Amino acid sequence: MKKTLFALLILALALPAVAEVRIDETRQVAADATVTVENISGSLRLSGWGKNEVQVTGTLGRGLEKVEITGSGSRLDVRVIYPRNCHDCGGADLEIRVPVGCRLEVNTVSADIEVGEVSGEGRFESVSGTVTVATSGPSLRVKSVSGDVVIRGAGPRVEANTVSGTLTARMPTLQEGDLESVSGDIRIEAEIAAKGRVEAQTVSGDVELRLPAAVGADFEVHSFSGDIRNEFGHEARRTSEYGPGRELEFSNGDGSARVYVKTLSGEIRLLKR
Amino acid sequence: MMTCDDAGRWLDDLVDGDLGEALASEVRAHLDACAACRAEECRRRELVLEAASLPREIQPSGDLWAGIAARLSEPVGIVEARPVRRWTVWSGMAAAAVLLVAGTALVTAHLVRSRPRAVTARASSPAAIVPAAITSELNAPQVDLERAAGALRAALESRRGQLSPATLKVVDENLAIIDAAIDRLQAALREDPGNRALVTLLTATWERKIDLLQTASELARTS
Repeated sequence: MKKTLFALLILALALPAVAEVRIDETRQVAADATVTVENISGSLRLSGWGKNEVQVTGTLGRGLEKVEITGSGSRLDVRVIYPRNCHDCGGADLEIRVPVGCRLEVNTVSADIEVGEVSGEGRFESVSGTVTVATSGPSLRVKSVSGDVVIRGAGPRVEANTVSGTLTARMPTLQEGDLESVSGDIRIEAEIAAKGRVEAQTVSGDVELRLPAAVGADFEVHSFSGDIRNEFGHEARRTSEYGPGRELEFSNGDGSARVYVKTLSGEIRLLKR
Repeated sequence: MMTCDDAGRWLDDLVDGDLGEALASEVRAHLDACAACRAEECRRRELVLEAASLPREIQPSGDLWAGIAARLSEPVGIVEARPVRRWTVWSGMAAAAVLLVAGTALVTAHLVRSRPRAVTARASSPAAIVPAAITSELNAPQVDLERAAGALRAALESRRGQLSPATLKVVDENLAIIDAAIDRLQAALREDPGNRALVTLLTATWERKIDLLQTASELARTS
């Protein structure tokens, strides 16, 4: 009997520490509101819907306190509250529905971010989480330290940078793109809009551009010591008789767009789609 | 016919002399017909001219840096006496000053890297390479960036314990990647001082370093 009571006591003490807390909150906001979301670990899935409401559902892991939701109307802040200096807390896995045209700002540390079906501006940042975005907003900015960035759809302007994550942009059309990394690879597969401008630069990552064979663009490609492979038919040349640098400049199609690629030691591949 | 948005997108390239003739003619045709865009073009040309003398002019003064350094070297004991409030006030002021230095240096570096080619033509002989204008232009802002990064790093070191081991690992690993990249870019620039693409990469890599240190410091502050 004593053993059973002891076991029950231990279980009762342990329950709050392991229990997951379910979240289900809804707030009214303007259709074009700015919605900010902060979470440290776990996952965030954000998607647009036709209601002028923000709905937050999901679970809070071990030790987490609550989700703080403040503001209304033109701005709403959603923040997962972690105990200070809690290094063994669980993560928060949240699914957030937002007005399709709202402006989103999302920050995480290790939590993955997945965003889809929104058409407002978006800014997404994570330290080590993977950021996957499919939006049609006028501008998109994504930043990570080591997390991979995957852009599956975006509006006219895309800006993404990472230190060591891989940047992948696969979308129908890219109008203005700035993709930068330090050591991460950069892959772009898209049609470049007429008069568009795309820049990709990395210190040691590889850069791969898969473009339609008839893409209309002027290309300016620089590599200090990496290889340049070009399926569009032009060969790179040495830039200096004193260093190993190589560059490739050529025009394809109507040449109305501009494509710039720079790397120190990565391989550059310009491939036909 | 080109719209104002289209023209605006190409103005920097036009001013820098980087546009192909066909596109440049198209942009100029729009400028001829649009007073607002013409005014914007003039503004950008003036900015580029100002940029030619900017690096030395906008370097933070020694007094400013001395003030920042003094704040950064304040004994930790003072911070510990009133842990939260004192640190917040101190770190806010110091961080703002450090970021001002970093921001100024980055703007300078950016202007240097985007200056028209005519201003800093590529060196054409070994004698001209050694003191190449392009690298000396970069040196001034880079010294500031090194100091700003050093200050941010010191601030981060003082509160490492507040970051989770996993986050700390990511930060340390990626700072090491950035530092190695900066070393390699500097070595490459010594080999080919006139290489503008390398300058662009070096500036961007410094931006990543300042940005990461700032992010890590902020995370440590709020953890």
